[in-house]
Amino acid sequence: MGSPPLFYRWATSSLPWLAGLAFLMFSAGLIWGIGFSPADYKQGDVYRIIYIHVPSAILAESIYILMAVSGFISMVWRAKIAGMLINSAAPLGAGFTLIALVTGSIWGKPTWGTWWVWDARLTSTLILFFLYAAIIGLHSSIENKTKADRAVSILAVLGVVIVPIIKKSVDWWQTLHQPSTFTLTSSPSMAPEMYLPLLVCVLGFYCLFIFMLSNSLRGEIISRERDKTWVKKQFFKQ
Amino acid sequence: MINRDNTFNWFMLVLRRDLTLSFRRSATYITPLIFFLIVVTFFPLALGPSQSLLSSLASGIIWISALLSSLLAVEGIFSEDYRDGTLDQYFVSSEPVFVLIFAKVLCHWLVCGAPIILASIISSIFLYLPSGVLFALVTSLLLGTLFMSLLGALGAALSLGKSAILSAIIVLPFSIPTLLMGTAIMSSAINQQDYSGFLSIMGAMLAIGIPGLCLLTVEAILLNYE
Amino acid sequence: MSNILKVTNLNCHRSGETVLQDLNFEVEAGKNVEIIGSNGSGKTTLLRLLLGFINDYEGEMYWNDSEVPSKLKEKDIHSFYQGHQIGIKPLLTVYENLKFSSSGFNSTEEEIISVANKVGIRNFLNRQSASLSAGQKKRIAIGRWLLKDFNLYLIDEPFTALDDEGIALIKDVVTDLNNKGASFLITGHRPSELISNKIYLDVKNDKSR
Repeated sequence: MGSPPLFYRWATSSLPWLAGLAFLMFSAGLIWGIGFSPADYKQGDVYRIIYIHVPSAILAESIYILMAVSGFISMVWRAKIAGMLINSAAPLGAGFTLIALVTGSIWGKPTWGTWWVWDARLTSTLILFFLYAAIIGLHSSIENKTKADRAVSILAVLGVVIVPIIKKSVDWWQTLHQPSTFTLTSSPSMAPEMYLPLLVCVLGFYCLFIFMLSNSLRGEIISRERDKTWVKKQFFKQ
Repeated sequence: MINRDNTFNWFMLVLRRDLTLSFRRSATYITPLIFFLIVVTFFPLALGPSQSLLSSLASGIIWISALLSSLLAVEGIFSEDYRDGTLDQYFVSSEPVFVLIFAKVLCHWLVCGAPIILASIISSIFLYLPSGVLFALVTSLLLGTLFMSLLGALGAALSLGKSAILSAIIVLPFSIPTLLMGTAIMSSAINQQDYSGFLSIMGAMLAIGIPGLCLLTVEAILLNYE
Repeated sequence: MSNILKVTNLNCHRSGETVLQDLNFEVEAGKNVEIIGSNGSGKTTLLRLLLGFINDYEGEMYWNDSEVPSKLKEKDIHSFYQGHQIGIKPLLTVYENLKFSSSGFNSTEEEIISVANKVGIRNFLNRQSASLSAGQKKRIAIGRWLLKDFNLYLIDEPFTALDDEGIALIKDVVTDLNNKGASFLITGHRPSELISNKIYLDVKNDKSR
């Protein structure tokens, strides 16, 4: 899968399936969670937003880890796909982070009365958003895209080392300033009727991400390799 | 095989040259200090001169100003050497380049860090910083500004030739742990609690950061050469 | 005659364009090679490729008579590189520009003064380099060649900004160093008066003869 032509062929054939799977899991999870799971005794119906919030937050972090691994592969083995992946994944990651922040905010308003609260999770998510923004900004500022790929690889690898440190320090900054911590996610013991649809939602979001990433990468490959013979053959064959 | 004597001599060459150059150009060490003081002044201007308010915010304001000043000061660390071919010589020598990069960062920190620390001591008067915490302030800032110089050098290398603001958005999120540690040291000192734990964490960050960030900086500079 | 460098079938493409095509040449110990071409003909690319800055090429480089292709750094060749930008710091004095250089940092004061004498800048040693003319700055660069013993000098356009005296100085210096067994690989727009093997990089036909 490391070579652009191979990935392109794989993506072209798999995309319809990925789209279908994503649509299925995504809608199944959301409908089940939002429509059919029981209301929470403390927060009523508003908690249902976790079916969007939690998967988005999980994805926001996973995508960053994916970018860091990809960056590492790109730095050590110079695989072209690994480099391009960061550029395609970053806007998606930023998007999910933004959704997590907004849904977190929407959840917070009825629960604590304000649109924003500096709890550990939201603050870390906000910082994660800035990390994504830095990667997107750096990549767009370098004209030579291969160079840009390598630059953001460095940033992603550095980021993945710093992110746990940031989270730990924000967690602990929270306890320093507010003796009683409160988290946005529900308590660990969740009834299976709430837990299962959440799982499905998370899987659905992952499928959606993989679909969007493959689609984006496919387009990026064609655009970058447009001078190469395999691309010309591909399009003049049809 | 690296000849250790030679690497040390190269390190000293870069350090001495950069120190000589920095002192010949007074702008290098005066501007971070002035910038720092201007930023600090903005806070009472914006928030009002109430002594109790400023006193409670003092360590935070000083730390933020120190971060921003360090960042802006390190912006041009590689531009002259890159343009006039001196940077090439580091790569052509058989020496480990990250050691030479550290020499540059160290020089920069010595030249710009000292004025910033001086400015922070002055600011502690402007902002009514509670008494008895100057030692904590200076120690935490010494470590913090070194880390900022290292991070800033990486940002400068990644955005070589491009805007300072880009370098800033790259570097600032990564400086959050330093900021949190530094202000934690200050709060502990003000409450007369022991802050040696935080100092050791900052020390550990530096121990890993010095080789790690310098190596990444070399990678980032090499990007401009291919 | 031993070869410090032998290059075979060198090809290099940058951003989709062929910069070097089927290049073959040798640099013998004590002899010089000149790479001549107009702007954009690949002279600087060739130098940077030899130095190891560019790794995307086809062909082989054999350093120090080795049987196996290698990189410059792997072989024990004391080489000196001077790029297009000569790296003279305007704020440093002439003495400091000699002392704080890749060849001068282990030199004694006497050695530096003697070298300054040889290249004709003895009287400027304590002057700030900013006040020197381009030709005088070039002489500082030439001084750097002499501060240490090197086997191979890779110099990008050594003759620019020099008057007749400067050119004569380079000729003397190069001849001296050749006699000690050192080789020069230089680039330029026109063939120089140096005794050397001249290789032309022709932009129009993208070929080298």
